[in-house]
Amino acid sequence: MPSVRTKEFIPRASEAINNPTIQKSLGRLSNFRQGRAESIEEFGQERWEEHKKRAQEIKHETMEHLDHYLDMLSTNVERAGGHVFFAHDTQEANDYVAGVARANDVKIVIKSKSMVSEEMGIADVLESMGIEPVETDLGEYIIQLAKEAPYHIIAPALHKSKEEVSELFERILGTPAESDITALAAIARKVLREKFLQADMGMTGVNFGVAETGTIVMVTNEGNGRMSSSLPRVHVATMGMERVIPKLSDLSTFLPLLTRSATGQRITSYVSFATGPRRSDEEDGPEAFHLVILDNGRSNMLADPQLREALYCIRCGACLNACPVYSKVGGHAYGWVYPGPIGAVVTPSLVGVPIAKDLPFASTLCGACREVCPLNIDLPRMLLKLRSDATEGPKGTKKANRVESMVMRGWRMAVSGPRMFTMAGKVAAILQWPLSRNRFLRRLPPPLSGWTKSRDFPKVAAKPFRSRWAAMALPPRKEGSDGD
Amino acid sequence: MATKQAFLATVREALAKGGQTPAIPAPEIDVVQNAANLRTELAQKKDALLAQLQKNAVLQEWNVVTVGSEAEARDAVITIAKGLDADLIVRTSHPIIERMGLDAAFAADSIESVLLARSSTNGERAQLQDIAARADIGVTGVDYLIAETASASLVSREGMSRMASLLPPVHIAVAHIDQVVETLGDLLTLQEAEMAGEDAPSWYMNLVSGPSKTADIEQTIVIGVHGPGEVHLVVITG
Repeated sequence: MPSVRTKEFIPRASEAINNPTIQKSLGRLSNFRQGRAESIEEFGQERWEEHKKRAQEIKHETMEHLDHYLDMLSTNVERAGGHVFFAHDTQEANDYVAGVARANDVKIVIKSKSMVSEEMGIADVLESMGIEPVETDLGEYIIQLAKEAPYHIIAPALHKSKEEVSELFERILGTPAESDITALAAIARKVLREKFLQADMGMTGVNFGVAETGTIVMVTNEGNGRMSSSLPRVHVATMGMERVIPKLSDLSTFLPLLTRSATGQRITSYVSFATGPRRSDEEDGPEAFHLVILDNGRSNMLADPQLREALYCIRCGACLNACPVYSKVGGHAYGWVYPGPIGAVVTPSLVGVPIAKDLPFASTLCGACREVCPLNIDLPRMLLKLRSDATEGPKGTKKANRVESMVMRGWRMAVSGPRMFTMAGKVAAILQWPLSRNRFLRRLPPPLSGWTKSRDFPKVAAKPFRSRWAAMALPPRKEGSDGD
Repeated sequence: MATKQAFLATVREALAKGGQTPAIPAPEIDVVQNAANLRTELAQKKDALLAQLQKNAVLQEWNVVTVGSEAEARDAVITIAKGLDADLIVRTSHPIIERMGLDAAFAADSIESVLLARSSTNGERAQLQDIAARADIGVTGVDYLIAETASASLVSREGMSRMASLLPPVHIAVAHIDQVVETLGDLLTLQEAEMAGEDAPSWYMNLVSGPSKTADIEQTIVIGVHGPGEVHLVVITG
């Protein structure tokens, strides 16, 4: 598993906020938002809602009987001549893939984009064995050269400017500086084409694993998924156990939801369906096919009725684009593989709440993530639940500190009844006098100074609304018209 | 090491289930009958589907040519090849492609044309990959065309190499109007019916819906990353 840096959320978030290049890159998220909105309009709002509803029903059914569908998927992959390995954790998954590579005397592995393989950190494992792992999605390739984690679920190098990419290529590939994006992509095409033709093993992710037919479905735009599943002798696909769907026909529900939510595309340039290795009458294709199905903490989410729905996620990234927090702090602040609102739910669940306790707090609970989610996952509710786990729950280590508890107890007292509330308002109005500037309190005294370090507190009104209301001359209410 | 049984037991425990889940009865669907009904339906709206396909193909950045006959399709392919100054062409052996008599036509224009066929050994695999990677154009037939998304479906099988539509910088797909369906759902219905009788369920298919592209640097779209950057769709209506 790659290093978990979730504890550095606050410093890394500040770093991103103060980096103008990153802020400029994050500004481009508006392209995704606009693309999605236009694409849904083209599809038809009503039809979109129907698809969402149907997708939720399918996912609900799948999760309720997940053991059954996983069994069916693996049986059908094996029937088609493929191998299936069930891995409890990333260690087991890595050991298996390493074993396949060793048994096939593999020298070069070409990788298509896969979040699960990031979760496993398989590239590092292969490298330690003397095997060359090559990321082939352009964005993934860039961050592999930069030795960084993906910044966004579908745009891994979102944060890099073309100047940074040029500098990276210059430094590592020895190519001349280049300011044209098309030319930069052409450099990567040339380097990677060689690797594609030399590779012994291809690794891909799985967008959907179809139980009924044992087919894995890969959604790509560049063609690297096709290369990875067609050219090398061995194809290894990795999937989280929640990627399974019951039927082939379910794809007509899920595919448009995925591509239109992610990039606003009607469909991606390529959708590849692989069922086992090449069949005997085929001209080409891999001799061997392996599917690794990973749990790695997902069963804990399955067991928790309040988190189970997070497993419905199809990894479109729409919640990242919509999130006002992600749009400022960027992907690396989240400290692991999955950023944004979905990451703030998935990461604590997979790596443990105690070390990722800052993530559920990285949200304004504005609900934008839920609004754009094609599966209507109630992320804000889950974030609240994880906050409660972090401070009160059995898994929490961050018990609220004493000052915070005191303040909260004081607050509860003050707002629970009208008399205390009125009095507290009066006291606050007097106490704030030396601190206030204009309409805001810019700095509260310790121990509350931490709170105002990055926020302003609105001033308590000199004349409270309650007394202004009472002083207003209101016309008498008409009988029977009080309900609306 | 997690065995399948131990893994599934963990899943069952998470679902708070006792033993083996009773199999959920799959609804009885006659896939063959479904496909037959669908074909009748599609045949009745052929012209509307073609119009829809043409419109969406342009949006998906295909270069579309509609022709009346296989001979005209051959001429269209030759015109594209000559326009690109092609020296080497790789092709698959779809019946439409065979009937077009492409090889003779290419030879007449001294363009080399190679049918990509069987690579049972690694030596042959490398050799075929090498030819496909050197080719200027790949010409293939398709199984179906989806009007709604302008997607060509290509199932890989004997005579249908995976590489012809993938490695060359230009892909020309040739299809007949009868192969046009409306939606992805339609395609899957027909595909399932075709697979229903087969013993070997192993199966590889691609939906190609335009040129290879990326927007991974500064969200600027670049055409032709790993797959073909130029794609042509030749539809025969006669």
